[in-house]
Amino acid sequence: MSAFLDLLEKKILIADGAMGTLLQASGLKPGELPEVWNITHPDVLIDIHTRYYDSGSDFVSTNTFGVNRYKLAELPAEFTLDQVLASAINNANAAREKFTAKGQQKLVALDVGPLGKLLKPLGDVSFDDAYNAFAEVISKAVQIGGFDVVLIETMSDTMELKAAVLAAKENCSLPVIASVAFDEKGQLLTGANLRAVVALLEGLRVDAIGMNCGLGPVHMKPLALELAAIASIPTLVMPNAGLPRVESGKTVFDINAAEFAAHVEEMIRAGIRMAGGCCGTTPEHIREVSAIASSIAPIPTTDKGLTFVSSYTHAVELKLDDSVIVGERINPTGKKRFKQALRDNDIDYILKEGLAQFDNGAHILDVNVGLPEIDEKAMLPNVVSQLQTVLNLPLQIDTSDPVAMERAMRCYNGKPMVNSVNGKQESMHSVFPLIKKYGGVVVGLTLDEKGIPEAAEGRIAIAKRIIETAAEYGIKAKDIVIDVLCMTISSDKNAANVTLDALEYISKELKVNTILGVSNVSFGLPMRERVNASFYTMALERGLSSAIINPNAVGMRSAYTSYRALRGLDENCADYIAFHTSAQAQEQAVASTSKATQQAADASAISTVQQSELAQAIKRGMCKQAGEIAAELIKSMDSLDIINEQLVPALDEVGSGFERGKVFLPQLLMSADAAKAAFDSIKAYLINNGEKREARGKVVIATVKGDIHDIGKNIVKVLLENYGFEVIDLGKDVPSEAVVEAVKMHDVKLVGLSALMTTTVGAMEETIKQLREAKLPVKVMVGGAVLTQEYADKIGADFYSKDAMGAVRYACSVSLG
Amino acid sequence: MATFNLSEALRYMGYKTSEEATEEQKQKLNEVYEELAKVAHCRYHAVRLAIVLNTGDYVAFENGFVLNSKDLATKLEACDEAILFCATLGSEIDRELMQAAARGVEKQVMVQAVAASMLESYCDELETELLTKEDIDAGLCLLPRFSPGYGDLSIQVQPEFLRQVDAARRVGVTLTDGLVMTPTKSVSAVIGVAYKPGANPLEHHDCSCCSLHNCAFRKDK
Repeated sequence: MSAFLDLLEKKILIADGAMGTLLQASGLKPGELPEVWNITHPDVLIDIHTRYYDSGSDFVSTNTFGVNRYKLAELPAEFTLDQVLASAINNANAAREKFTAKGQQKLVALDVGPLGKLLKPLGDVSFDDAYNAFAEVISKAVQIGGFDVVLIETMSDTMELKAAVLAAKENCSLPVIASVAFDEKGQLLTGANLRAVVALLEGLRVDAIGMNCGLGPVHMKPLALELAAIASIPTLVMPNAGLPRVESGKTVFDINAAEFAAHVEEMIRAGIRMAGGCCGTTPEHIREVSAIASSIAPIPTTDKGLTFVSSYTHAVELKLDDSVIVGERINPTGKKRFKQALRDNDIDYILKEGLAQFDNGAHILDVNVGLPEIDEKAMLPNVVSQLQTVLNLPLQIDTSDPVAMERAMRCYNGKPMVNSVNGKQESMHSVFPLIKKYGGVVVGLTLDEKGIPEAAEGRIAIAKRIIETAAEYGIKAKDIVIDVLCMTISSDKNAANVTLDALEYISKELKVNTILGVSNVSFGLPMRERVNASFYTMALERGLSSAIINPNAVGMRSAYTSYRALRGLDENCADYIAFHTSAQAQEQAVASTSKATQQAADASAISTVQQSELAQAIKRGMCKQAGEIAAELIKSMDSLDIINEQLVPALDEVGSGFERGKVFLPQLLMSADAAKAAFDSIKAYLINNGEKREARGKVVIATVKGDIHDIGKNIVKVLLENYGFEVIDLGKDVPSEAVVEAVKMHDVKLVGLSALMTTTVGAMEETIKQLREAKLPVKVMVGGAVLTQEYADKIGADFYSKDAMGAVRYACSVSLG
Repeated sequence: MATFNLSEALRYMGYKTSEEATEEQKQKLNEVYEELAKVAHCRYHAVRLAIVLNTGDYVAFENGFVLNSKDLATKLEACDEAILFCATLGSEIDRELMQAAARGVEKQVMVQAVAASMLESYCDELETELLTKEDIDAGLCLLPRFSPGYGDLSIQVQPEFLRQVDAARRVGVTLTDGLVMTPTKSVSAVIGVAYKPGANPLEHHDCSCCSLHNCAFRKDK
């Protein structure tokens, strides 16, 4: 066992207090890099560490909060990151030696702070780059030696936190404490609440979890008490010395040492195992805390037995006495349109499937993108990241490919659900190490080398084997959800009974959470949703913790909300009423459009009415109607005719209105979205009938490197698509090389580049330069707030467009064949 | 808590006057505001510093921080102090923008316009917290916000500027390699504290110092 964990078992550990506050008191200027002082003022650093040890700190943190390649980018040329790191560790050890010489046990924590950059998709640093930056510091520190624990602190983003923890665990064998900064709402800067943080960090198997900075002891206390109540590993608090205020040019804090210690005492008595201070705290604060803590016997940390799946904002808890919905729609099985979207890398379509389930009340989304002809190892992590960009539901990573599984788990922001492991030795040995390493709640299917047992007893036996084998890997039963599997009653009249019996045993006797793909039960029967809904209610009654269902199906949500209301799980029947209200609104909307379509059909045997209706719907920006009318039209008309005779003229009319200042941007975009809906209907019909539509030409568009504004680019994209172009959208913050590569790969003749800032127009110029150097026969059009015709000429663009319609007109004018 | 100005949001969307927009459009923007107000996480941090030297070419503050800008120096001519600040609506708004983009670009444009208006309103609101009652009684007032990138104050000062206000730690605002602030709905600015007895303590922003003359939103053309 490590010295740190050994000591933590015996007593309440005391950390140190603020570093910056004391450095400023010693003359550090605002804006000056405190880490440079490790080299220039070692005496000051040794003195600070000594004062903290002397006031009772069991461990002090090295002055390395800002030691990483991003924050030290402006390090004076005479210093290197390695030197800063080595001197920081040396200073802490120089102080420590004064105490170990006297026979006192004192420890040193390697302090790791945030990078000072936001990770994608909010910022421009990739997960891998963040990992590499942390790994660089931690592996160098390991070479230097002289510390007992890694303290990752003041983290305010879960994705960055995960990168730091993985970097620590993969490059260092010492214990890891991970500590985050909450605000007064109990959230990190990027939105995670306490449960989400606990789920993530316990999943990653850190040795202790903490909170520091952000709050004084008064505001931190309720969070600390909650942390102590839900965490199953030791905990740390390091509050600020209250709220800062400026008095005659100096920052002062409003909580004195005695008050500070009194609040911290309450936290320790509630089960917090380590305490120190952050901004504004001094050796005085630590002395008071240490004095109080020495008289308190530590409360042993126990497993709270909570099952959490989390995203970057919140955790979903799986329980034996309630149930959650796992949306099943992101899955190509039996869906031609979905398969085509995967083949076309049409992520927008997949995101819309996700958003529809999000809007309809799913708690978790299953993500399965397995298709023989696509590269699942690349597609799964990509879809997971993209879904996490637009919605905050926890995801269930669903794949049978262990490589795809690991890649998706690594980049997942939170603690995922993983679908699945089964009773086969091979499956357990490939999946459990991933759960152990990255954290996750894993679905255990009750099948093994011999198949699916017919009787409930056989399935229960496999469930037990899965749980026992998981334990050998250090995975607790709380992180396993058993799927006892469900066969159709159309081929075996007892299929549902067997499933329900096994389910009840797992839930009531083994007290392990369960999951079920409910709709299998009705395979081969008519009106399947009726059987599914009834079976769903029966399974809920027997203890089902989670169900993989289609949340867009009103019958299933009706069964779910009714069950919870009847079982007393829905306070004031609020969820039931909310569902009822939204379902009613949906039904009314459906009724009115089908009525309109019916009227249109009645008015004319041929589709002339629908034709002009399509143009009207597009001009008025009515998405739903445009989609429905187009779906009808395509049955009797050629797709090209619909596009050229209906869609484009309608858009043209709106577009020229926009150019003349008669139509405003929102109206143009509503029409564009309506035309897109019509397009989607046409596309879905063609795919289902195995036909293909020829695009007018291909266009690559991108927001250039360094820039993350994408609205202008997105407007151009939707309009180009409306006019029949195939748009290859490379997204935002796109390196020049990626544009060149895409142009080559897709044999594209037109590129559109967007930049909003004066600082990023340089990247636009560079991209054009590289396209020219590659001697690609490509035209480049540019746009963006700070661009002018003059500037566009200067950087060698072929066309400057002042607005989106200009881009469309230009695309139509150049030959893309 | 940031409010929102409907006509300002409509202006960002290309309407010259509110009358040009339909009631339906206005209703939609109000709904978008309701959604954003629920998730916005407004934060700011301000540092008030004495100006120790103003040469007309640059301004030097008491802690040694220097901003090179004739335009800023002119604006701060009558000021003994200035406030450096950074404010943000938080990363949740960027999440909303990304979600809106997936739903359709029309929604994204509305979210963008409403969020931009909320940010302006928030900055106006927080300015009321920057002066104490004693300051106002003493005849002090705040000049319009002046941001890196305005006039001849180079946007290249942003990294150092944000370090001065401890933006990453205090409010979570960081920069991309292209010096775009993230979260994107953020503002950094200098506000002069001037002695003008009897004047309105909060002057309004004007466009006169901005060099982006073809800007569609310019107010003084």
